[in-house]
Amino acid sequence: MSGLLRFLRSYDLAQRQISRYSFRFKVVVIRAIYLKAKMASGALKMTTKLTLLPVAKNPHHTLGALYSKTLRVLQKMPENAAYRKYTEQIVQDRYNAVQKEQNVAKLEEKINCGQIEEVIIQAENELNLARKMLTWKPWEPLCQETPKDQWKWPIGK
Amino acid sequence: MASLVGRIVSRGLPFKVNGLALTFASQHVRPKTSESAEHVHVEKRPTVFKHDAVKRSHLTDFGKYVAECLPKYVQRIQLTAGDELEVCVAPEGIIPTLAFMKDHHNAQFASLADLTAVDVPSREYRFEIVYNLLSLRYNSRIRIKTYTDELTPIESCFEIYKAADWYEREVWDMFGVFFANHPDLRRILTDYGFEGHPFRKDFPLSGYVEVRYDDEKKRVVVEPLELAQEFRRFELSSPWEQFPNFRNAPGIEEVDTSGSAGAKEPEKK
Repeated sequence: MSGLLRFLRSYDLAQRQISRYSFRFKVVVIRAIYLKAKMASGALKMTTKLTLLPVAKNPHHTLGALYSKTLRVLQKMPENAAYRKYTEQIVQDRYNAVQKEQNVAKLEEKINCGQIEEVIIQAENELNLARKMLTWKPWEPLCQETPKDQWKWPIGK
Repeated sequence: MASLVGRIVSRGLPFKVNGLALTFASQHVRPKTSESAEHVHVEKRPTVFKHDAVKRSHLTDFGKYVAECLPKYVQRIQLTAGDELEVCVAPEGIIPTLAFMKDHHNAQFASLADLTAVDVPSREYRFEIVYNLLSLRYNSRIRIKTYTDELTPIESCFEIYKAADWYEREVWDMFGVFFANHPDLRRILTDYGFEGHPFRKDFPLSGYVEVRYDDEKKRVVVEPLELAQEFRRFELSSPWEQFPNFRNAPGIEEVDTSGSAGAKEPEKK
């Protein structure tokens, strides 16, 4: 009698433990399969593997906004400024690439300048730089002629 | 072979992304490599530095690109004997130039490897301030130079490179170059109460004071320097020429930026 009771109690406990464990286990397994399938299709990236750089949620939208802002800032510079000419070309190229290619992995390969999160940082930097350039006006003629012998080296010769 | 050169070009240099700039770079590269093989004397001695023609032509292109983008500030572009690119800028333009180097797509020199100064007392502006930058993205380095004198402050680049904080303190301590808008400009290497800037050429090698332990006072005392040997001279130049074989070795080579003169024309607005 006591043996049967003991058996039933232990069976019950084991059942409870298995059920609790298997529920968690199921969740983990299902999640892993789901993520792996998504990663394989290129739709999801887990990490950039770079400290403090999270995966971008919607890179196409961010990049589109940044590039169009940069282009608008560049429009304010004089036509023949070399900085405007070159930067417009780079930014326009990347903007077109972003518009055409929807797959992030392929887009990264096309731009060939690091992960899309890094490309976003580059775009932010260029936008800040272009805004500052508007006040600096580096396309103007040389502001200060070189003082005599300033860059001569060695001085004795 | 051509495709190999092309691949090196597309890997190694700032002109990687931009389609036009890439073709523009490789156009410059190809004739040069064949030229160096046929006409230019090829250095074979194992102990002598060998120039990398491809690298040099890339650096030249990038130097021209910088000069064209910032004609207001860039005074001179030069290549050193060790295949390094140097951009000499007016002191007003040091902040725009550094910002361009850090933030522009084709440059991305995101880290400041070193910042230092050189004292040449015979010049009108005796101090050269030197910034060594590194671009991890394009695996390349560049050196920015500007100038100032004892009284003219130079703008601190702390806002662009946080690494400049201690470097600028060091330059202030050693050379006495004042950096405007630095958050915390005070001496960093010399002792408490030290006077003068020891890396200036007019600072005596032996200093002005000497420090010794005084047995009577039971403490360290600082006294004006008294040299045991009178008329002591530190004449370091030798009467012999040390490296006669390298008397005419090529030194710094200036890059001609007049090709971009069209962009240098004043704005008509």
